[in-house]
Amino acid sequence: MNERYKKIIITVVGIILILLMVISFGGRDRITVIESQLGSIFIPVQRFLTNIGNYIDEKTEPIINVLNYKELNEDLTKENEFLKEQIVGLTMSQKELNELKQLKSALKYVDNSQLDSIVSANVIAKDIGNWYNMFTIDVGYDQGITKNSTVVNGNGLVGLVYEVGEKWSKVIAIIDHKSSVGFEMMRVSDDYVGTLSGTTNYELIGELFDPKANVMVDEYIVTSGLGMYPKGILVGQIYEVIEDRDQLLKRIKVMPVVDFKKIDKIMVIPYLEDEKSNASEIMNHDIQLDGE
Amino acid sequence: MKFRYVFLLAFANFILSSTILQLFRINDAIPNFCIILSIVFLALYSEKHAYYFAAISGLLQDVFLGRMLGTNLMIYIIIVFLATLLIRVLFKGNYLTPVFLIALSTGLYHVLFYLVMFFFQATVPFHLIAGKILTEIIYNSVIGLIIYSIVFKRTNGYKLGDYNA
Repeated sequence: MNERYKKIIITVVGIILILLMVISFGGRDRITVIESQLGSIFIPVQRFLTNIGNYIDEKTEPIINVLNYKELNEDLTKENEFLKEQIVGLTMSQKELNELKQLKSALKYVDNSQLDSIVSANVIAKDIGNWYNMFTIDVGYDQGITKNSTVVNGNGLVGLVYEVGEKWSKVIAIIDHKSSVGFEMMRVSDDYVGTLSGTTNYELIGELFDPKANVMVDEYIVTSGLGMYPKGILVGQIYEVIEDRDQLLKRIKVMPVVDFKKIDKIMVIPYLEDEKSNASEIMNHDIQLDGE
Repeated sequence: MKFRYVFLLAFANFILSSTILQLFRINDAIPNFCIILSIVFLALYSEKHAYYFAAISGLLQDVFLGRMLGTNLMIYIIIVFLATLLIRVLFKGNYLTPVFLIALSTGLYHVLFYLVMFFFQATVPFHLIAGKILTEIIYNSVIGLIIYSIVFKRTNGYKLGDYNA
C-alpha cells in the first residue's frame, strides 16, 4: 500500500468517525446489539477484578491513613456533640410528623413515590481516562433500567444513567462538567432554588436564582425535583459562597457528600417519562401561578 | 508477534485498566496504557500492529466509558499516524526515544481531546485538569520506558542503550 492510499483511507475513516461522534453525542437511547453483548461478556471478568481491587483497597487503606486518624477522631468528636444537640430537636419534630402521617392516611392521600422500583448494583469498571468520571454498572434493560435514571448511593446523589445495554449501563457522575442538577436548600423555611454543575475536580458550583438569597457555609443542599432527578436526594454541603455582583447572581461551591473516588455499591431509581412530564407540567403551572 | 495476541492484549489492557489499575492512581491520574503500548508496537514491531492495537483500545474505551463513539479511536489513530512520521528519523536504541515519543503522544492526546470536546461544548476548564495531565505525562513516560526496555531486549537480543552490542 503506498502513502497516497494510506492518506485517503485515513481521511475517509476520520470523516466517518466525526459523523459517528455527532450521532452518538449526548448518549443514545438504544445501543447496538454488538456493544450490548460485548458488555455481557466483559461484566463477569470486570466484576471479579473490581472485587479484588476493592478488597485490596479496603485492606491497605488503614495503613495509608494511619497518620490522619487523630484529626479524623477530633472531627468525629465535634460532629458527635453537634448531632446530640440535634437529636433533641428532631425527636420533637418526629412526633409532629407521626401526627401528620396519621392525618394523611385518614385523608387517603395517594403517595406516588418511585421508591418501590429501586435497583441495587455494583460499579464494575471506572473511566480509564483522566477527563471524566464515567463508570459502568452491572444492571441494564433486563433489570428495568432506562436512560436518564438517577443513580444514588448510601450517602447521596451520584449521577445519571447515560447509555443502557442489556446487562450493563454507563453512568455519568454529577461532578462531570455540564451535568447540571436542580437543587434547593435543606431547610424548613426560606427555601431557595438553583442549578448546580460539575467541575470534574470533585466539587460542584451552583447558581442561586435569587440574588438576595441568604445562604450560609456548611448548609446542606438537596435535589429540587426540577430536571431529571427526583426530589429530595442529598447532594452536598456548601463550603463557599461567592457574590457575583456583575451577573447579579449568588454562586455557591459545594462539596458532594458522595466520595467519588470510592464508589462500589450504588442504587438506581428508574426514570419514568410519563410521571416526570406530569410532575414538571404541574411545576410549571405552579411557577406560572406564582408569577401572576 | 501474531495479530491475535495484539487483539488479546487490547482486551486485557481495557479490562485491567478499568478495574485493578484504578488502584494505582497517582494525584488522581491513571497511566494510559493504550498510548504506551501503541508506541511500543510502532517502534519495535510494525505500523500495522500499532494501528490495530490503537483502534481496538480506542473503540473499547469509547463504547464502555466514553461520552460519544469515535473520539478516542480517532485520537489514537492520529497519534500513531504522527508517531510513524517521527519514528523514521529517530534512533530506536536510545533511552530518550520512548520517553520523548510517549510524553509527546500523551500531550497530543490531551490537546486533541480538548479540541474535540471544545467543538461539542463538553470541555473542562484546562487549569482544573493541567495537574492531572502533567502527572499522566510523567507517569506514562516512566512506565513506557520500563515496558520499552523489556520489549526491546526481547526483540533485539541486547539491552536498550547498550551501544557496544
